[in-house]
Amino acid sequence: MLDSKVPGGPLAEKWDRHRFESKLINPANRRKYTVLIVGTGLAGASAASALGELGYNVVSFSIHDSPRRAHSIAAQGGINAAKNYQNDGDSIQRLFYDTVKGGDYRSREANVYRLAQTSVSIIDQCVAQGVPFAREYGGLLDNRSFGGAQVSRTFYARGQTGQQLLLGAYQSMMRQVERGTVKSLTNREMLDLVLVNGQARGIVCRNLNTGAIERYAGHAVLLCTGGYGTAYYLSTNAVGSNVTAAWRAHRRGAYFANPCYTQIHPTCIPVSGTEQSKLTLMSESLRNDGRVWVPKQQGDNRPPEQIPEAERDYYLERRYPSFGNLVPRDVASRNAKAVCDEGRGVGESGLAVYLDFSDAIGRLGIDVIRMRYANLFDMYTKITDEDPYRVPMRIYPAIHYTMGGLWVDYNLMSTIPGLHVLGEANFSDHGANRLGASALMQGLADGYFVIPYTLAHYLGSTTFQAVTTDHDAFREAESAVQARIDRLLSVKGSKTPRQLHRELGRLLWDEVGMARNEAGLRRTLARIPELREEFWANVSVPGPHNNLNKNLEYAGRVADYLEFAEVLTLDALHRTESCGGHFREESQTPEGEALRDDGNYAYVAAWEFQGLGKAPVLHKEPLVFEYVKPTQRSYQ
Amino acid sequence: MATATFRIWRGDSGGGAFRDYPTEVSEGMVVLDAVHRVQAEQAGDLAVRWNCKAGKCGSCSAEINGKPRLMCMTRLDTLNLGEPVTVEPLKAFPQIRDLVTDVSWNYEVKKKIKRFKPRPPDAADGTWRMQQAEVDRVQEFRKCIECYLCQDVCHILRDHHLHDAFIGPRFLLYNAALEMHPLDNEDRLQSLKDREGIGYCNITGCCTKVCPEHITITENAIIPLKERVVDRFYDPITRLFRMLR
Repeated sequence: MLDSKVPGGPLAEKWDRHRFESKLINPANRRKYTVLIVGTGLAGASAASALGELGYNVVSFSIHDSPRRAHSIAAQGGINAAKNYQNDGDSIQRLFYDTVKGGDYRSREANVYRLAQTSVSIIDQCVAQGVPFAREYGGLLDNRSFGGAQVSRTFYARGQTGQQLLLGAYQSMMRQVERGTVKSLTNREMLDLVLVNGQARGIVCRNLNTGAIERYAGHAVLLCTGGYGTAYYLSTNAVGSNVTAAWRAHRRGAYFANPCYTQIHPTCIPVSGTEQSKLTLMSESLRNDGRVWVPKQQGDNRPPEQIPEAERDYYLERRYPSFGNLVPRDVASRNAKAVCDEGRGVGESGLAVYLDFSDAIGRLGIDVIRMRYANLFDMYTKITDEDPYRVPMRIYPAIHYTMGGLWVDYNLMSTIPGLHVLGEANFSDHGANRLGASALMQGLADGYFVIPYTLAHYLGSTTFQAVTTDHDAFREAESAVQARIDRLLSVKGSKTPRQLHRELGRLLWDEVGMARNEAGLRRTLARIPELREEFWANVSVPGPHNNLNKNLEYAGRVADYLEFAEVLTLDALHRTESCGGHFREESQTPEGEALRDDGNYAYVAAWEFQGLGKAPVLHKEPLVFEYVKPTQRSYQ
Repeated sequence: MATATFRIWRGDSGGGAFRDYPTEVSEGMVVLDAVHRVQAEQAGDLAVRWNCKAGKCGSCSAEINGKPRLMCMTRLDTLNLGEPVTVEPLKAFPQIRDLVTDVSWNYEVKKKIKRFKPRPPDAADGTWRMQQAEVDRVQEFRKCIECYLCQDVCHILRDHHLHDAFIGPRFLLYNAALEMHPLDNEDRLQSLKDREGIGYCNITGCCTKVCPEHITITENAIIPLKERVVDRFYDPITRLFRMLR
């Protein structure tokens, strides 16, 4: 039975009470504890800076040549916090409620409430680091509104909030590097987790520049390694983002929770050609002024300006008169897929819909539109060579964020004692669907404000055996890592890792993407082992092992996607309800909306690894809603 | 589909050479796409570093036809494909392999710059007030993605190799982001003058020209810093005043 360790007492007092009841570590003793932090995005960098500041002996690992290259920089929109600066009715309670509802009632109430509580401190922390949040005319912090909320609680820094927040966290972390409390190791990829007496006591990494396999020992390991969206090959994630660290931990005993909860963002630049390696996100804010449409007639391939108004179908406005173009991400994405499936998609591939600004330009004038969206329009022009001021943008949904992740309890600890998981890598706060501007909030809440307490509690209540990297467990892990690398290099087949990844990605996108059904999921479960077999029989990994070898790094990650994809698909198959980002065609309302099955599926599905090719064991954490009553979401 | 030739530098710190790779190109491709196609079809072991493909992570810096550029943001239709397109690693830093350079010198330089030090809060609740115009000034500097194209193009680093005496445009910009931050009250002028070698910069403006984020490094960051250093250390009247004091 999974114990979420949620403290007792009323919701609003749980976190205070927990902090009071938690064990502490004396300041003079903190340096005796070594904490290994994998990843330097918002969650990892904030955790490193906070724990370093407290005096722990921290070692930080980054897959990049600098912590600042982590993909948190790409976040555009903003960060939510229940400050109620606008005096428009916001409160901790309301942020909590919006987040639970937005997550389609599949998250843990106590975690979400804590997130809403800590959101308030995050903003102060970041301002004190020099993050240049936008200001209103009186010199106070400005806010804007975002999807899924009726208040303005999103703090932002032009279109680059993620970059500014990461610069703040990175700068704080480097301050600790200077003080000697944090050691920053870059160009390191974690390839295995080391357990001693069942506790997470270290990691094995590959130095990406020299190829050396390195061992690091510590008292606890923090995984801050992001989501698994890149399993789909094409996504808005950076290509360096991957599932390997989380998957290796899963193989060592950490349960994987709700992998089928993936978020598909409706406004991305569509795929063009077969060689494309990555998709680009256009901010959701565009739907404030852009109108989404496709031709009414199938196969109508006239240029958009030649299609008269009467022959256009503004399908979101037609189906959802009250929310119109501003329906949540999952709804907008599914509808785009539906019209394209009917053969009414536009563009060369037929896999795109128009996002048209001509009405807004006519109503507000081109200058206003330019002021609001110039940077996004420029980016669109740069990538597509089309001018959205004159012709409608073409957009299509793409994989963007993953709500699922390693299972953690209220303390952010996985099912492996000592292994903590922060940020997008864990499953805890967003349920089945994440609201805009909540990812930055969660990453920083976990790193700055939650882990300093819960880690101390773990360290203070655990007895540790003295362990060095000479321990047999390290030797065993290192030789397994080395054997795998040797095996990758020795296949010398004829397919590149990219070809095989693309094949897997297409399969997952078609069958485990925006809409899923039993037959398709079963087909996928049969196909994945074949692909995996083909990989190990026919992959080609040229280049050396003892030097920078991008193919080798990539091949290892693809091998892990080919294992991970199975539990992703299995989870989607077992959950026969639809909820949030998980849409089962068998479970919809008469109007075609997602239909939850609270009687049977109000639980977290946490999967335990049993060995490759063997069915993982399902563990359930029941979700109890004491404060928010689950209802059917409606946007009509 | 058209064909173009990419002349890519292959080798490591021990040396190397350009090799020509004719490859198919199509509409909308950027140089990074072409390099990936070469990697997929002809040169499986080609080393190239990239991550976000959106011009934000600063990983794929290289020299394209001799100019420092981001590979992911250089569209092929802006290049003359009638001639071979040369792609080579940054020159101001040591090579690792093929198109990948070791830019770690930059991170060491950055560590030595005095950190952000905010003034005491303006209000009793611990918050500060500031105008959007003040925010905008540092926001421009904080757009920097640390691609180091400006460091690569700067002749003081590239040709004169004064890495020990001069921190380069990127870190003058970083100093500016801190010095001009509305909350910061640290003093970095002494170190700018002495250890960081701001005097070496003779404002040729090359850094501004190559910046993919269009930051006006020279005019908005370096020149104001130079003026502050000159005011402090070289203005004869204030010097006299200090001597008398």
